[in-house]
Amino acid sequence: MDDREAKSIIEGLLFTFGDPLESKEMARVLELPHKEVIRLLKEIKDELDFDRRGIRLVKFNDSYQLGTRPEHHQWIKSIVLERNTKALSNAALETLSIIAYRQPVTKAVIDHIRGVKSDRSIETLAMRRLVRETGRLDKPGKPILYGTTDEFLKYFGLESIDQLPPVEGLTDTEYREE
Amino acid sequence: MIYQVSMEAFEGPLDLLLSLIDKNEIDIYDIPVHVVTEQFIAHIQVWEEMNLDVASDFILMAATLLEIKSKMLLPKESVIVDGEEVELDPREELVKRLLEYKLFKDIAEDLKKNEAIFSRIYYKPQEDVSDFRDPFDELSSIELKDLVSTLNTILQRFRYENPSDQIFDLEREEISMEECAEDIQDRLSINRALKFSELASVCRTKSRIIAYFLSLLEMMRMRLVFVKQDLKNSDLIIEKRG
Repeated sequence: MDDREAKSIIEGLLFTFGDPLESKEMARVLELPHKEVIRLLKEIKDELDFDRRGIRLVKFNDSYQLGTRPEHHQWIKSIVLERNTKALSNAALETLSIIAYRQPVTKAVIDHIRGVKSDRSIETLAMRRLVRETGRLDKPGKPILYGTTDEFLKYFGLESIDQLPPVEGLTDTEYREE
Repeated sequence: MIYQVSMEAFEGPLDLLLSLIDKNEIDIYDIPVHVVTEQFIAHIQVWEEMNLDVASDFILMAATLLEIKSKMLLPKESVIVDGEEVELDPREELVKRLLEYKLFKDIAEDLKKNEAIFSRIYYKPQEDVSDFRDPFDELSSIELKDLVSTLNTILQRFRYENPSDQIFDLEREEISMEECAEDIQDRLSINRALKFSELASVCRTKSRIIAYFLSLLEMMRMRLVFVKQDLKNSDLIIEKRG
């Protein structure tokens, strides 16, 4: 199977599957080495971008999905129903940024940094599957630890959590142990 | 002194403090606590005058500010760090918190920008490919017990998801043989003859059919009705006697 054929099959897989598909899964289907599939996916992504096709390949962690271009939004929205997902509130965004940079993190730490209770925000974020429980802190009361999800990466257009812009002054870990 | 109190929404006391610092063009590392405290409390007072509930977080922060303000009036405490005497600034803890909060507030702003861009992407929902599968092939591996266990799982999930539906009051339907006998006699006063299947067809439960049958036997014993049957297993025909 040459590259051309393999890429064409991958495109078909992604189109049919619709949902995020892991490159490992594609490697299994194509019976190709995982590394090879990742290279092909990278090429597909570049080609779609280079030709300014209406579809782009969106990557987050090991998952890939076909999506439209954000700049085409104004045209696409006129043929589809208005989406009912609202933009996140400032409170939710603040909470989310703390979770993203401090994960795994407890609610107590989030509350302390924000100076207000964050229960509602965390609930909203969990409902929109942007954050999830990642475990429990081994401290009295076994508080829940929160972390971000793949959906979070997709929502903010990040390929992986390392892609969050580096921020100065975050080395401070004083509140982590609270 | 009158302060301009803005009615913008604040995410919390730290947010309000930051906005005051911003508005007064204050150096965050050298906050004039008396100024900020007065303005902070002025905000709370205005909210209270407007009958807005002031969250306890704001009250707590006001108290903290007052505490810092009073500490500022006292001679400064000092500690020895690395052999050098260092004066403790009562504002230090607050400044640290403010800076950290500001950091995340700024990150949140960045995320908001990303959100605005990437929420404009459309994805296709997963294709329903069930039409393209061979239905018999899919069923071949399923046994009856799989169906039963699947059903049980669904029922369990249903119960789990609807805890209020978990408790049923099951009432036993009470019907007396007297009622049945009365009903039969009523019917016979209208029509001369009556088929047992007619009686059974209005019964919703087995026990009701049994009740009718028993009362029929009782009525036969009391010589109130005749019961005829043309063939074995055919319908019973009830006729009034006399």
